[in-house]
Amino acid sequence: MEILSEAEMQLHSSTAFAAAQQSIDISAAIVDQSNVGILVLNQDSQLICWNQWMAASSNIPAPFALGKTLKEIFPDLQGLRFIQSINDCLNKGMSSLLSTKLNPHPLPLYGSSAERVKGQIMSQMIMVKPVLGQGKLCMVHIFDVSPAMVRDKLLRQRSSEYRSQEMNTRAILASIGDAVITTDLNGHIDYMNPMAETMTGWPLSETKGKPLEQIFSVMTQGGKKDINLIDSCLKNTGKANTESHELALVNREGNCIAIEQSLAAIRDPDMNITGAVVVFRDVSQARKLAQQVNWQATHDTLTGLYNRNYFDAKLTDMVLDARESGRQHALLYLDLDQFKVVNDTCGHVAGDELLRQISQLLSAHIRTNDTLARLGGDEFGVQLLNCPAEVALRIANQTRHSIGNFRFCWDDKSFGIGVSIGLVEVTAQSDSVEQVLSDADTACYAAKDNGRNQVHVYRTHASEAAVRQSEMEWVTRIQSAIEQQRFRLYFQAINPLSMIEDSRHIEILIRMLDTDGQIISPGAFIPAAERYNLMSAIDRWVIGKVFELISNNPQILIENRYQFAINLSGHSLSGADTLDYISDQLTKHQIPSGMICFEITETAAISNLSSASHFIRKLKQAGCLFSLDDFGSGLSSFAYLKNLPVDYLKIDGSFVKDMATDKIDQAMVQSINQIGHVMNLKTIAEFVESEAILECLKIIGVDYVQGYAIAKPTPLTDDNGKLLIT
Amino acid sequence: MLVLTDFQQDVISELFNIGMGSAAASLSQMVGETVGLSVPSVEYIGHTMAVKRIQDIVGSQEVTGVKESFKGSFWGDALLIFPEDRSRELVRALLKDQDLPLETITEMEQEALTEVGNIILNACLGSLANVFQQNLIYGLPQYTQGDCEELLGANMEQQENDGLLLLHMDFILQETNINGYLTLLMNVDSVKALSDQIDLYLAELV
Repeated sequence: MEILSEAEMQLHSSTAFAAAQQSIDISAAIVDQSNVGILVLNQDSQLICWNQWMAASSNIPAPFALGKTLKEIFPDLQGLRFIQSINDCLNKGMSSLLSTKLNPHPLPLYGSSAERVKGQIMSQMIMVKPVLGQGKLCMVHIFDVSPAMVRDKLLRQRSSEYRSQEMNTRAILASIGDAVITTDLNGHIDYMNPMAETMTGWPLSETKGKPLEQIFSVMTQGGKKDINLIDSCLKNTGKANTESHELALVNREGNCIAIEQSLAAIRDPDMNITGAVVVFRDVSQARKLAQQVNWQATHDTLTGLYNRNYFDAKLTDMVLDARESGRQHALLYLDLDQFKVVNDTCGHVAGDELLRQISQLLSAHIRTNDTLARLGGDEFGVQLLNCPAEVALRIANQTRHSIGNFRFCWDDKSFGIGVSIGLVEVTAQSDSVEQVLSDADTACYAAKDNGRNQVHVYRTHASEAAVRQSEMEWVTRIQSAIEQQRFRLYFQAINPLSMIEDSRHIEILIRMLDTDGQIISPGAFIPAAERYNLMSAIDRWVIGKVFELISNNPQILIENRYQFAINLSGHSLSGADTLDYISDQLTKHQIPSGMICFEITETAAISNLSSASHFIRKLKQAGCLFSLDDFGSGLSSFAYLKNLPVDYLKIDGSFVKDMATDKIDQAMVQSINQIGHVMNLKTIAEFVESEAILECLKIIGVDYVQGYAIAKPTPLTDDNGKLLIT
Repeated sequence: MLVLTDFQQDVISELFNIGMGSAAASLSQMVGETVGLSVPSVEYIGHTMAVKRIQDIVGSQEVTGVKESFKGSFWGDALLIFPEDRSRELVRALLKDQDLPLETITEMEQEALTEVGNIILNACLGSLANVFQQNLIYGLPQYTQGDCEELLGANMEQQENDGLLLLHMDFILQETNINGYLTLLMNVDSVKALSDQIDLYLAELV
């Protein structure tokens, strides 16, 4: 409100005065009607203006208020700052503003009578301002800020709700195991949870506002940088490319961490994209495990080569490829020759080590694209891609040579190792994976059969197949012969050479009777019986029969001091039930001690050294004797002899039959004989087919002789089972 | 540009410190807690320089100010300036309302801050007026916000050689020290008048 100056007041010109008077009236009316509180104090702090708003809010009418001081109207007036402001205004011309916050309720004013009843004082904002009129006046404006206070309160409430929500969210984000990063619309980082800080190596304080890809640097497994994900998420559809790549995070130190991530757009309530959220987690362990599992599924843990499963799968591809493209491939099937010896004499640790060393040796011979796998105990397979038979044969022979030249050393022992290799061509004509494998196996077996340490190339419809075919037929024939007991026992005398001895040694031999009564020699059916695990049954039949004969004719046999040499196959030697069977039969037939001598071959004994030695010891306790058959034909390691408590050494016939003419054979026989004697063993020479041989043997001093020059094999019994010896 | 001597500047500093003392007393009483206010330095410098000086302290961010004009034997605008976030911090500390998470200053807080500025400016200008035994008339305090160059520039009809009186001020509350600036924007004539007043005052003291 403008207070009129003295000069203006003195205007007496009627029109001017009237106009001025009108202006004053209007001003006074405006002040009175204003929707804010207006009061004016004069120099003596007396009220000279108290508008309607003031009257209504304070419930004090203007006539009562005017001329009084504020203290007179409001005796309880507390606000020191308000009084001070008025004084400063009147005395020093200062303006003041009194905020609601700092001066909540300076005057006892009420917004309505209802609020007055409730004692709810109006929130006020007060302005104090000097007015220069007749001397200094103080004008006070009072605003009702109650609505603003309500808004303020609401705002506080909302923001504290918002904050507690935010705190909740942060607490959740801090406690979860996943890393979370949020970005704004430009892909700049807004927030990272503690896990994201740990994994990236960057604290949020350093990354806020930075482009995501600077901090969250992700590579695909191929090493390609993967930066477009966030862009496509933000700019295009809001959908992240959810294709599952194997991703790795490159952290601040430059280390790669395998991660799984998901991306999503953040939207406001109107569905506009406002940013993106990336969630990722460390899957190093899982991925490592998966790799490990994957490796283990396709590899042999001992040697690190591929395993059978993988080999078979690759072979399927190879066979298919040969069929579809007509390319030529080859398959090698390898079987180590002396693995069992190493395993049995030095233990499994040595055997394992041998396999590892051989694996390394083999790896050196294959080409990059070839597949080398360990297929079983000491069997290996090699797939040679795009490899014609000649090349495959060269590779096979190179492999065989290098293994042949290799010596395996363990403790103070040294072993030569051989390998039998079967080679099969894989061509468009190849039948199936199974057939190819079976052919390779057959070829490998043939290589073994032919004397080991060689390569055998499989020829379709070649002799082996025929042999196999006939062997298969033999199996049924042998089986029916066993069932129908169509065997006959023969014997051949083993005579002492120089010693005067009254005991009679005979070796029991076997013949098979065909259905038509024809006699079949052992050379025809034994190989098949050996291959198809029928030898144990034949051995048992022989043992049972011989023991029965002994128990039926004890008198004559004991009197003449007969000793029966019975052949035992390798199968019988390794099977525990054979040992039990023999023990039972010995007891059952009350076989006299020293009457039975079992002949076992050197190869059979050595390839099952531990069980053979157990077998021998047990039966020796039961009064049986043992003879090591075909000595010198196999490995001829005299060291093994020490471990085999045998009584006789039977010198292999191949040395004997030519010894009369072959000096080397003669020397062999001589040295074996010598060693045998040193070890306190009796020696036997078989295949003694001439007088000349007999003479040589006499000179050498062999203990026993056996062969056509001494006696031919003859039936042990007649057709009725009656013993023919006397 | 007109220059205030070091001695004159010391006198102004002294007077403002007296004003700050009484403002601090008023504020302490109002908030029930010790509020410390002091003016460590005063300088009369060019407008551009002042803007730079303030920007050095507050950085590029927006500033909050409370402006009050005064008229009398010397005249101009008094402006109290805080960095925006510091002013928010200050008002919340004063109102013991530290927990409010809002990043913007609320309407009510603006009002309270205006009052605080009002108390400080009144006390400081009042101490000048007191000493010089001059009556000044003060306008109502106004809350302003924005770029500090605009705040300083928009205040008066700028003249080339106008300078301004820049008072660096420390506001200590609950062990936090909030730096602010108090500027008196006066034209040449007004500064001359102030300078004359100081000389007169000194002469009387001798």
